Amino acid sequence: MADLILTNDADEVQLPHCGNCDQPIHENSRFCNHCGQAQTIISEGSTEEKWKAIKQAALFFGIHAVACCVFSFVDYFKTFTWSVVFDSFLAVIAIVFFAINWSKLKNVLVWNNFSALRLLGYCCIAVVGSLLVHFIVGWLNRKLFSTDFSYYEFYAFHRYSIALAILFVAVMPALFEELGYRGFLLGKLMLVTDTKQAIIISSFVFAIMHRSIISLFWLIPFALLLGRVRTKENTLWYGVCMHFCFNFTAITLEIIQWNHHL
Amino acid sequence: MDAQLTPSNNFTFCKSCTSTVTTNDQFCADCGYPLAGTEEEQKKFLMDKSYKELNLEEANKMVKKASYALYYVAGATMVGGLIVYALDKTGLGSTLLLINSILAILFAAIGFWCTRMPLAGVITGTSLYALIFILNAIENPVTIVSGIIFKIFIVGCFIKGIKSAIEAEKLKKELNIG
Repeated sequence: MADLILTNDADEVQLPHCGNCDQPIHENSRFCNHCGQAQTIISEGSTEEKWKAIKQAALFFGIHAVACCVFSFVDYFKTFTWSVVFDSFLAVIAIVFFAINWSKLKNVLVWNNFSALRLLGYCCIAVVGSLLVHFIVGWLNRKLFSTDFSYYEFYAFHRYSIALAILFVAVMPALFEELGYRGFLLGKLMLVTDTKQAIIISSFVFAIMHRSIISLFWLIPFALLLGRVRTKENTLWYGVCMHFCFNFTAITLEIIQWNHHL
Repeated sequence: MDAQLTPSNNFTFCKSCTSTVTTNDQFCADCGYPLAGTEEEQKKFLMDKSYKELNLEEANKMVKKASYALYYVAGATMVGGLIVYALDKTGLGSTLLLINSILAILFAAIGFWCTRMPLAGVITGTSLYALIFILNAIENPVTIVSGIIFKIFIVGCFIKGIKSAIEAEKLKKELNIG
């Protein structure tokens, strides 16, 4: 008997209490059985607020999509100067949209849980992924389209080719794509729906923005991983480092190949 | 203090959701039904519930419409690819057919996926559709106006689908299902 009471007391301590009437309730209760108060947190924003958030995300998507498409499909803009202009434009757009939602998104810029070991682990995953993708995609491109596309080709004939290629292929995208897609877009979508769906939507949008059918197959998993890391660690910086490692590995391999061919 | 929590043998079933409740409970812990409320309160609760269920059904119908629109886009993309392939003289036909087939499969897969994750499905489908629209518009501005009525209808389905999916998620949370 004494034992029974003891266990009951122990249970009592762990039982949650209703936020409305402060009576103890069962652990899995959806409603308080004393006052009828709903125990699950009913959605934060109204449907109108969520729709507004989606419209803002859609505007960001639209501006990015038009800018990317104009740059890659209008021959007039396929010059080095224009590529700098477009990259800067996309960076400014990402910063502006992030700044508009500064109060809601600023906490992802904090890096409280910095761990060198974890950072190294994430970066290793990114480098290995990049190596795999480079060789598989290179092989596929040669097999299917009999062309070998190189990002480096674009910068190769410039005076500071290597520095420029690293800046525009590795540093800028790592910073501003992360800020735009994992910072703004994912943050905004998380206000609309659950984390899982928000990660999937932002990853898909990020992947199709690269306008390449083949790259969808590795960009979606990569973006899902980045989204997962961003929500799990609650900071943008692990993702920025991973993205940098991924792109840096790719461009380094291309520079090596380019110099080898010459 | 834990008087109302001690297991009692007086179990009964909730009239609203049929889960087990004790006779001590004032409200059903699963659905919030006022077990000890007046008849009027109970009636109001049930009416409110069925109203929400009706709205949810309506919202799900809209999402379904959006998924049908995605299937339609998938079909149109495939047919378009085949036509281009058949009329092709440049030698790029097979590449375009391959790209269109992959896009068609992608659209159909997203449409199918709408049943599991409505909001993510409709939004990803819409963004892919929008991107392809922009790409085509830059490549060949004539495509903006070709089949404009269908395009407006499809975009209308997508927009309603997104709104309904948000509404459905909210109602599901309120009804405590899913």
